Formats: sequence, structure tokens, C-alpha cells
Amino acid sequence: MYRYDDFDYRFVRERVSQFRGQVERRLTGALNEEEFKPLRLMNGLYLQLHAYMLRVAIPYGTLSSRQMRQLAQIAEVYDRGYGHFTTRQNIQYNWPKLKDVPDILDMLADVEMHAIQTSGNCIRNVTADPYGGVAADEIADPRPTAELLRQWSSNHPEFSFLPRKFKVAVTGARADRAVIKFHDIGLRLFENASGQRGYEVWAGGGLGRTPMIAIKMRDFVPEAELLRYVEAIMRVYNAEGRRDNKYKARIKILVHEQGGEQFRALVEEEFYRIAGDEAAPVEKELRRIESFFQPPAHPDLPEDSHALAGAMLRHPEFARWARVNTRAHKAAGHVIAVISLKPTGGAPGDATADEMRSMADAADAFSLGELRVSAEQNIVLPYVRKDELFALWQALDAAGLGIANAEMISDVVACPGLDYCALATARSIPIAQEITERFAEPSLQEKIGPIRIKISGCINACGHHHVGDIGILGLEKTGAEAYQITLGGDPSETAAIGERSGPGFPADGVVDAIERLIHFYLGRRSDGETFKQTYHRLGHDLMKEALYAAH
Amino acid sequence: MAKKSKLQIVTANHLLEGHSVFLSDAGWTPEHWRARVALGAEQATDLEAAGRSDEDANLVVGVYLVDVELDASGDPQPTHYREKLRVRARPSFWPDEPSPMRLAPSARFSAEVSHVSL
Amino acid sequence: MPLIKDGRFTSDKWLRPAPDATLPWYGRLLLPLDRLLAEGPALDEAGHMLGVEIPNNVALETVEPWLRRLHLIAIAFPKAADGRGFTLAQRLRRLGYKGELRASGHVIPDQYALAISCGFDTVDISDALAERQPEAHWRNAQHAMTITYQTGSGNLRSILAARWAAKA
Repeated sequence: MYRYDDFDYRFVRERVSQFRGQVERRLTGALNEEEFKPLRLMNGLYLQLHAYMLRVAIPYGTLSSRQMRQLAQIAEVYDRGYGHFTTRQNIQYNWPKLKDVPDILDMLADVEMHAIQTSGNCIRNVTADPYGGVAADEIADPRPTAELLRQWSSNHPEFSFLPRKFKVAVTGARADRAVIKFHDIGLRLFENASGQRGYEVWAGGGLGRTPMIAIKMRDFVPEAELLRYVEAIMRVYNAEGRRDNKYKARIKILVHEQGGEQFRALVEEEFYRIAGDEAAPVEKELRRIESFFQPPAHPDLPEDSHALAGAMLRHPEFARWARVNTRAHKAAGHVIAVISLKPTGGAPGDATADEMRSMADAADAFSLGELRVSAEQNIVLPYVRKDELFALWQALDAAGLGIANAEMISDVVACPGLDYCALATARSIPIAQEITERFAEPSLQEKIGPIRIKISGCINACGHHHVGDIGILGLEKTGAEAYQITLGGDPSETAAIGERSGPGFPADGVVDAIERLIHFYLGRRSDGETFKQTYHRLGHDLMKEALYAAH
Repeated sequence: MAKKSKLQIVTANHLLEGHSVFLSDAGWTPEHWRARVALGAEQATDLEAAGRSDEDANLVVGVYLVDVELDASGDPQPTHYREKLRVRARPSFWPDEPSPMRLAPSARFSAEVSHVSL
Repeated sequence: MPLIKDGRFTSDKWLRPAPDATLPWYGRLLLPLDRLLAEGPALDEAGHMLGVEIPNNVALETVEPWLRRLHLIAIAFPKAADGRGFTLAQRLRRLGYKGELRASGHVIPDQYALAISCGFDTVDISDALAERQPEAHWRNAQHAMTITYQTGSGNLRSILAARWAAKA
């Protein structure tokens, strides 16, 4: 993974110093809150319902065991002993004090981490396929591109005061695990017919109050021209994006209002105005960054592992975990392993300091010291040998991290919701907890098969409910929490926005409604169908009725 | 029939530390039941203005009014579920007392929170 | 109304003539856009140095014909969070404007280095703002970050350039 050079290191140190000075000037009143707010947001610091919240960047979701241990240490020393992994591959601390934040940022800089631009009207964490570099269906590793964009966008002088936040995602595989069609800019890295590397560029996607699928900007932007093209999009957005209404300020609104044709034309015009001489360093820099992402020298192993097969026969509980929580790896004899942070009754995506250390230990022992964060709020170990999978599971199980539910019904994605967030209209975590309890039984989960339930505690949709097979949106109705259900969403390359099913349910009725729907699906599905397949076959109207059927 | 006057208190976050505080006669306190109660629009405006002047003095941030009703002891309690959560000062699914259950012991976390005086 | 140049408060040599005031026989005149368009050619003929105040969402075509004749363009910053001025500055420089570029209005010291990187030369703030954010703040903020990732960034050293120089 990427290692800072002296320049990167100096950049984050200076940034911490800069923020320290800004905090001091805030306390004396030299900076008022209106002026300070964008500055603290650009260093990841929110003010929430009970406390400040610090969002630390985990660039494209990749981190080392050393970094994970530092995150644990920060949780213990400066917070309440835990952190929350988010749907954009970052980590959030819920209880930092403003006066401690510069010290926290220094601890992060010690391990080549930061909280730069994880909030604010600027370019945010560039996310990528969590299986980058190891997925069986990979064409090219998207992470060097994400790293290049991270550097290019850091403290960008022109694009630090945008109309609104800006989110970029990169994928390099056939399946899209980076949700690129719902990002402000989505990039698909591939090789064209001539063997040239470049990107399919999408723009104007987003969730939030007005979910929209991105439009395709270009079939192919050659590698050397990527930054120039992204700069062109950013310049048009910064100049033309709406500033009159916070809820209409994202680029998706601009694209929608201008129309795809017009917007593309504006970007192309800007693209040609940008001097071409900036291209050369881009390719050189990309190659330099790529050198950090060379696949490790894997031992030459056979695809099948007798040790694994034997362990699965002897240990049914492990067998289940191996079936459910692993994914195909491009290197023979290896798997990608998912550590689920969705225990029964738990808050989705949370990990205690001890759990973080256990995961760091597991990474050192079984995954070459590397971990990933997925958009499902889980942790991924990218380099596990099949021969060692049983030993890994034993270690995880001993640490309470062995639950076998990756992409199953109890692998619920939920934003922090009103329990933490000042923007929320309803709580989301208790609903997630109830779902994990209702559907806890492992064989029932395997019977139901893969299904995405996503919960957002307000229309900002940080829980990505629009793209869940079942999406739950928490709102307020006549002084109480009410939960609307959407069906048929899809974050992948077959992007779809979930359709509203009807009136909302009260907090004590929403999980019952979902249970009715699940039983309806189990009763009506054809052999081997997933929930998604049954939904498409039967159609929205029939499926939604099951939610409201008399009980 | 006369419209019943609204009861309100003022809340904000402690600038340096971040926790929720409420404006009382003795200054800002995390103990919402001690908050000064405004009856009707005029008192509410004054109370909010007092809060904002502390915001300008860089003591607190994010001042706003909260609707309340008086409980059996005559203390203000929020009427809206959001503010009920806020005064609880912790997620709804945590036990009422701070518990070490899910949390590793933290050298820095204390159940005491500091008062900020005017 | 302090003018910030090279991290120091200086005096402004430019005059903002009142609409009906008699103009000096020669001067540096900072005019609102509509007055430039209406009287500019005559004033230019008469030998004045011309500057214009433009909003941050001005249509470039309006100003473009004037770029070779203007000595000062002052771009309005209505709110510090409104970053359109940075793009406008970049676009004016790319169009070949060589005169002074000024950021005028609600600009905070923390934006100073960014402004310079986008092509601004000076910043113009109110007395009230200057009182809260004196000269020392501007000087310090200018040098808070000595290094930048982006190329072509004014007087800051680009990391990319430094990397490839180190390798050479």
C-alpha cells in the first residue's frame, strides 16, 4: 500500500499545525463560527447531537495493521473506546473534544493518516472497490488512481469552497463494488481494445433527497488525461453549481437542470482550454504510485486446499463462515475474508479498541498486515490463504468477530441516525439491532440468501437506503418516528433506485413488516432465486403488498 | 380561547468540549432540569439572545430553543423525541448509567462534565 | 479598507470614483462593470489606468474584450464560503490577463494562500474584518502550508515538481 514520502509527510504535519492555529483563533474570536466552520469541516470535525464527531480518512478503504492499532489507541485515549466504520470507507469517533483534535490529528500523522477533507464543501475521500488488487474479477487495481486523485484534490486552491460536497469513487473490476453510478464522479478503470488504460467517466450521480443515477460523460478518457478531465468537471461545477439553495447545490442537480448534452459540452469546452502540458507528470506519477500497489509475491499454491476442506467437514460453524464470509481471490489458493461488524444486537459498523487490535493482529498473522473497509461498514482481509482460513476464523471467533453474515439479511447497513447525528429525523441503529435479532438464526439467514437492507435516519441517505434491496428511511410523522420502506434498489453496475412501497411504519411495526415480506418471498421464490431475483420476477406491486398484508 | 403560551429552554454545545449544555440562572449546565424556562414568545426571544451573546463570546456554539413541559417536580422536560434523546446525552440503546460493557476503559472519559459560567 | 499584498497591509492606490464626481485628469480608476462598459473606451482614450469590479459569476464574454486594457480586476467575494472567485481568477489568467487580480470582500486569512495559487495578487477586506484578523494573521496564514500537491501554484512549491526534481 502507499507509503508517504517526505513531501506527503510534511504536508500532513503542516496541515495539523495550521488547524491548531485555526482552533486558537476560533477560541479568541478572531475567526467567528461562520468562518471557522468550513475550516473545521475540512479537517473532518462535525458538531453532532451530543458531541463533536471526527471523521478520519481511510483513503480508498485501505489501511495497515499499524494504522488500525493507532485508531484503537485514539479511541481509548481521546474517545470512549470505540469507533464507527462508515459507508464511505472512513472511521468516525463520536466523542472527541475540540481542544484535543489537533493532538488526535498529530497521532494520525504519526501513522500516515489524516482527517483532511472528510467533510465540507470540497472533494471528499476518494473511495474504491474494497477488493482492489485482489478480486477475482479485477481488470486493474483502482487504488493507484484513487491515491492520485487524493493527492491532486488535497487542499486544492481552486476547489476548496465548492457549492457543496463532492464525492468520487473508482472501480476496476467487472462488478462494481464502489457504487460509482451514485457518485458525483464515478470512474471505471479498464483497458480499451488497443490495450490502452483509461476510464469510463460517469458524473452527476447521488443519493440524498433526490437520488439520481450518474450520466456517462465519456466512454474513454486515457490515463494521461484523467486529471485534466476531472479538473474540467470541477471547474464547471464550481462556477455553475447552485449556491442559492443548499438542497439543490450538488452536481447532480446541475447536470439534471442543464441536461446531459449541455453539461457534457461545457465540460469538453473547459477540457480543451486546459493546457495539455500538464499530462506528462500524471503518467509518471501514476507509475510511481502503482509501484506501491504491486501484488505481493504470493506463494504458488494449488487452488484447492485439503486443509480447508478438512476443517469445513469437522467444524460446521466454521464451514458456514467460510461459505458466507469469503470471496473469490485472483491468486490461486487464496480468498478474501470479510470480518463482519454486524453482531446480533450490535450497532452496525462499530468496533471497540480491543476489536480493532484483534483485527490488526489477524491482519498481521493472516493477511500480510493489510485490511480494507467496505461500503457495507465491514472490514476485509485481502490476502488470506485457504490453508490458514480455519486458524483465522478461530482467532476472529475468540475475539467475538466471527459472525457469518456477510451480505446476508443481518448484514444491515445503517447510518448513526438520531442516536448521534444532529441532522437525523429518526433513529436507525435500534431498527438495525432489531433486524439482526429477528433474523439471527444462521440457517434461516442462509436460506434467505444474500439481501441488502440499508437504513437511513433522514433523507440525506447516508445509510444508502435508496440502493438497498430493502431500504428503510426514518422520518418524523405527527411527533413520532415513522419508517418508509423502498424496494428494489441496487448500488452495483445494474444501478437502480428503490421504489417507495407506501405509508411508513411505526418503530415497533417496521421489522414486523419486513418479516412479512421475507416470508412472502420465501414462499413464492423459485428454486435458488435470491430476493433480488424474486423481486424482479414478481414485480414491485406484488412484493410491496406483502409489507402491508393483514396480520 | 387564548392560545397556551409555549414553555422553552435554550440549549447549545460547549465550544471546547462539545457536550450539550443548557442555559440556567447559574450559567450553562449539562443538567437540563436546571435550565431557565421562558414562558411565551417575548421571554423566549430574550433567553435566546442571552444564549447567542455567549456564542459570540466563544463559550458555546449552536444555540437554539427547545420546547418543554414541566414534570411532576416542576422541572423542564423536552416534548420532542429528538430533544429527549439530546438530554439523555448518549445513544438510546446505551444503558442509563455509563457502563463499561461495550467500552474499553478510557483514561480520559469521565462521567463528570464541566460547567461553563457566564 | 486595508489592502493585503505580500502578507502586509498596504494602502490602495486605486480610486473608486463616485458616479457623478469629477474625475482627476489622470488616475487609477476602479469602476463597476456597467460603468466600464459605458465609459471605458472614453476613459481609456483619455489615458486613465482602468480597473473593474466584477461579481464572481460574471459572464466571461463581457470582460474578455477588456483584458488587455485593464490593470486591475477586483472579484467580489460575497461570502468566504462562496468559492466562485477562485475559478473566475483561474479562467481570467488562462485567458491571458496579466494585470492585478484582487479578491474583494469576505476573504479570511486561511484563504490567502489559495487565492494566490489561483492567480490573485491582492486581497481587499473591510476594516471590521481587519480588526478581527490583523496583519499577523495574514502573514502567518500565507506560510502555514509551504508545500502543495497541485502544479502551477503561485509561489508555493509543488510536491509533484519537488518529487521529480529529487529524482533528476
